[in-house]
Amino acid sequence: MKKIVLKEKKVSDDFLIASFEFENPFNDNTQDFIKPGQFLMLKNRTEPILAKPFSVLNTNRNGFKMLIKIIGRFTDYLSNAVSGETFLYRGPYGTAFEKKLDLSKKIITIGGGCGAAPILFFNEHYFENIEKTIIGFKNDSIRNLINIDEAVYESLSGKTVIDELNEYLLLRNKVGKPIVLACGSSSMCQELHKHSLEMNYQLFVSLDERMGCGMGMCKGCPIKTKSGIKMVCKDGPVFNSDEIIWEW
Amino acid sequence: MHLKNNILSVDYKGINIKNPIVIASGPAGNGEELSQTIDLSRIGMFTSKTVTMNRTDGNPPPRIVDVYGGIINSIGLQNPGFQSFMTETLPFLENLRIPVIVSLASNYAEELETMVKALDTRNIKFLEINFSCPNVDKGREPIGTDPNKIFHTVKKLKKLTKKNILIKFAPADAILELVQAAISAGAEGVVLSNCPKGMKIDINTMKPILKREFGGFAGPAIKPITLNQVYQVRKQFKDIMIIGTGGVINHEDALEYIMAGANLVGIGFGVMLDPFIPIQIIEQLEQWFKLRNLNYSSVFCKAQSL
Ligand SMILES: Cc1cc2nc3c(=O)[nH]c(=O)nc-3n(C[C@H](O)[C@H](O)[C@H](O)COP(=O)(O)OP(=O)(O)OC[C@H]3O[C@@H](n4cnc5c(N)ncnc54)[C@H](O)[C@@H]3O)c2cc1C
Ligand SMILES: Cc1cc2nc3c(=O)[nH]c(=O)nc-3n(C[C@H](O)[C@H](O)[C@H](O)COP(=O)(O)O)c2cc1C
Repeated sequence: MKKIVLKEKKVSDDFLIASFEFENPFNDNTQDFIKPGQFLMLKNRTEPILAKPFSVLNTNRNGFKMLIKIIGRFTDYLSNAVSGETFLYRGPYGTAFEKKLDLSKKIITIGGGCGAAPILFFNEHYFENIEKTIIGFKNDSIRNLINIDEAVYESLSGKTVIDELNEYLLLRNKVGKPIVLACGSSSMCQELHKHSLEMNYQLFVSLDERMGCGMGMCKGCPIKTKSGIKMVCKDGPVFNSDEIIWEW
Repeated sequence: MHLKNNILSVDYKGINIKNPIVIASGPAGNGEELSQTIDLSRIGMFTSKTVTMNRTDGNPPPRIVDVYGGIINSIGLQNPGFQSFMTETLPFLENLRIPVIVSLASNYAEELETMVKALDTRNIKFLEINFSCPNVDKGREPIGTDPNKIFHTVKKLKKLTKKNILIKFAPADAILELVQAAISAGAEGVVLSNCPKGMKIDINTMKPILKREFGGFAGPAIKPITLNQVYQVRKQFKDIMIIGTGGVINHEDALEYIMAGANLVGIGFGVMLDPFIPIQIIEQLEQWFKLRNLNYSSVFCKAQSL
């Protein structure tokens, strides 16, 4: 795996933003080494714990930034790591959003929690394609880390991202079936799927499944689709929600 | 087993194996993805993902959970079935330029016979009969825990093929009896071991994390168990082929297996942890031997009090 150095880190209650720098920068176009929708597998140098998948929030010449929810062993470890510590990564893996979306059309983007990261990265790359963006968080502790213009906070408004999307669609005054790209928890994606049937929009979801190898070998992250079992890491993580058989 | 000039290479009945590192069945799939990350022609041998007669969808997610020292997996032998394997996958494996092991599983002896027969003319060196997947329960009583059934099944398979047959077992107290049944029926060797069973409970939901409740435990934490299986079996069976598998993530682990009596060393979890691990181990082994002016055969079985 390749080395990266933790340059800077900001931690709130349940999120952190980490900037990593490549040990050996690429010669050219470092920024484009990963496309929105793809992810990197990250681990620390010492423990025999599987690397974990993370999207990037943005990239620059020397490295990349991630928005990470602190929920377990690796993310806890990272939240306590000091600047200068070396980590390992491999990738990028997964299918870029652009491979599955029709980019001649406008897209509504939705991010829930750390699902904000790939959505904001997508927005930055394809700002001309964005019809509307809603980024939902349970509470507003994230504000200590990053200022997201499109953010809504359930703890303040009492509304989920789906409520917000619903309001937007009811007032939407545009021709053409809406297209929504969403990234968040499995339960959010599944709720959105039901909502998409009620409200008649086309939905693409980027799924958060526990992964093994992250590169399609181990068959650890399956999703049942109308065309058989697919791997979230390799065939996804983004899928047309109509293709998914949610009950398995 | 004869030693070639190269300090790592192993000769088995005229089959040249560059080094004792074998990619174990499952974690590395059928090598398509791994070959984009490492040069598979540098590995000793490659084992296919276990193939079943019919397409197997595998278990619903979550299929993998982290635990101390490894993971518990309940993949459930997901594979597209034997016909698809023969046309879509086997040609890729046959072209790897290293000896290949094809892993087969079924609780039905007849299905194993059909698959073994069809593979007899193909460019593979070993067949591995997976009598030990912890993650499937369809069909008849498993063959792999009953010495009698093992004997009769292997005997029939041996009649159908000239290929070397290896039998893969999970760790078992009665391992010597099971190995005895396989070897006396004509199998060339054994793969020790498949995953012991394990589980993890989420204390918040108070439920098992794996949808299927339990799964196979892989990774460094199982090494003391699987290493002991290799050691005990080698003590009784001096001449059989043994592939020692379980928890290998560095060259020191591999050396322990070779010293315990494994001819070859399988890597499963290690490839998922970091796909570069097999190559790193080969390089580190080479260095370790060179530094000490030793070679593979000078450490093989050395832990046994022969
Ligand atoms: C394609 C992809 C992109 C991702 N991008 C990001 C990102 O940008 N930022 C980010 O914060 N996270 C992201 N994730 C999620 C991230 O991979 C997990 O949060 C991370 O693996 C947790 O690692 P850990 O070692 O800290 O937690 P663990 O110790 O592995 O788990 C902690 C707890 O969470 C549970 N858990 C772990 N994974 C999941 C899951 N997938 N679904 C439900 N429960 C789970 C465990 O059972 C355990 O109870 C992404 C996931 C995928 C698949
Ligand atoms: C994700 C995963 C999938 C596996 N699939 C198979 C399989 O299809 N057939 C098989 O014989 N063993 C399978 N195994 C078992 C491994 O080949 C190996 O015997 C076991 O994991 C112990 O070695 P390790 O600790 O190096 O992983 C699998 C293991 C894992 C972790």
